Amino acid sequence: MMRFTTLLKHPADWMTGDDGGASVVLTSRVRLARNLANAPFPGWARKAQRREVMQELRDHLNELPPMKDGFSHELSDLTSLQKQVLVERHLISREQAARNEGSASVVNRKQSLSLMVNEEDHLRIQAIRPSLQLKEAYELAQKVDQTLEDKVTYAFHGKWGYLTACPTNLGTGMRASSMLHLPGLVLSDQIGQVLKGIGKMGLAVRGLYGEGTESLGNLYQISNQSTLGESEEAILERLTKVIGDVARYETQARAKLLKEDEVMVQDRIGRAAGTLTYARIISSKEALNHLSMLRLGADLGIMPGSLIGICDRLFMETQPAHLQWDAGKKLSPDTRDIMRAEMIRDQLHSALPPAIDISGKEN
Amino acid sequence: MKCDSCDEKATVFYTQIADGKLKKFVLCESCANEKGITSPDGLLMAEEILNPSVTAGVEAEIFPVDSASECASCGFTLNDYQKVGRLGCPDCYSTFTREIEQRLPSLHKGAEHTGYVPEGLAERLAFSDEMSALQERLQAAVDEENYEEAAKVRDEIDQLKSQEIEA
Ligand SMILES: [Zn+2]
Ligand SMILES: [Zn+2]
Repeated sequence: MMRFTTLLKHPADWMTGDDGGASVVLTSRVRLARNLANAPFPGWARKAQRREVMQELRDHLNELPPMKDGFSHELSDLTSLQKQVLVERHLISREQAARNEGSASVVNRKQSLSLMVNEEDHLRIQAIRPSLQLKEAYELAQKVDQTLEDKVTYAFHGKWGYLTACPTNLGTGMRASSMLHLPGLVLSDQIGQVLKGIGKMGLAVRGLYGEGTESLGNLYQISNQSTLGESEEAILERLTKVIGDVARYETQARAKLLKEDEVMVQDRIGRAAGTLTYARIISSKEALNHLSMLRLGADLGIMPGSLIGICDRLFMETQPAHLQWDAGKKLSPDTRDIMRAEMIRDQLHSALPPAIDISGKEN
Repeated sequence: MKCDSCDEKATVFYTQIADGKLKKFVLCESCANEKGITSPDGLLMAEEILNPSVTAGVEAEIFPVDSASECASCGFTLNDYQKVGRLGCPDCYSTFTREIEQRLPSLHKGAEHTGYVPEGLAERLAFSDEMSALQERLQAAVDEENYEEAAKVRDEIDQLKSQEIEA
């Protein structure tokens, strides 16, 4: 069985993003909620019942071809730091991280498939693909689902479809989402209008980082809300269309900004590059916002194109748990800010080397 | 809880207001059906059966409460559902059907699943759809006293059943 350390040694296959299509839409995710017919939902089950369900599901999950030699651990076997790292990688949910015995995480080597056992539902099958590939992500998850449906008896209702712990997931049990980078719409003050439009289409949108309406790093997640009354294909089609539209507005906004407000855009990008290459202490918030501008610069051709992939990795790896995992120990917030600045400088070095070394160690 | 009329488990709950007094009674599904309580027209009949002191002429209001207050499979209560918005087990969906149905329009685009159906299940559901359609036709034929048609439909039902067994 794959160890946690081994899992983290390799970047997820959707993180290596070298295709050009990922400049606005970073990733696409689809998750299917499934439950066994004859067992109480995890939130209401007794520990012994949860364990029984976990045992049954894990035996089947570990045998799935894509999960071969993958990662498969009960949550109680992981430290809280390890769980937090998995949350930051989107491989388990915040809700599952709070669980221990009787809950398990099964992840394939490429980290494109993540199976959560006894989260809110008995099973959540999640597939992640780079850029706008919701259909591809769905197909990946569906393959796992179809293999399993021959081995276990799902809770399925003739009228209501897949029965889930919460009626908000009833029907297809499918939640599909994409993560978008929208600095152009934010800088041109159009973001509010666009978000409102998305809401009116019955889709949900939220900032990936930050509280409330604030979105650090200009990263947003758009997902379907309704899971009953529409087929998977119809949901995915509608979502893909809306996300494609938003991506187009974003591209237009970037081009317009560059044309009408060139100096302002250059200034933002230049300051971000300066700060990130020279800062010695940087908070998560400051890092996310500068990384966003640097990524914009790379997309506009002002900065080296290789920075897009580097920024995407740094969005994730400069999060608190990843930093502490990297350091091999628990770090105070102050120390984290120092380590974060160091990690950013290291990773940017190949594409954006500083003109002078301010550490005084080398000359 | 036991049925007021027999010893089966009660699943139909009624609250009745008569003479300004509140009275609750419970029945199992078959007794309720037998006594015609599930249809509004059967209400007066229910009066006679369950509350002989109330004569048929007295105006009475009967509010069906529908759902049992606790899931028989897992013990989750209606109160639990109203508190947390989640359910205890898949069977809770049949126990709290009415409450869930009321909430669905605020959550979803439609009220019926139109997406993927697990393969084996698709066949079983198609079978039960076909079967209930045939049974409706049979009932209609019997009601119309069209015994020729009824016999034909009965044959079709037998044939469908034998197909199911072969498969
Ligand atoms: Zn009875
Ligand atoms: Zn239940």
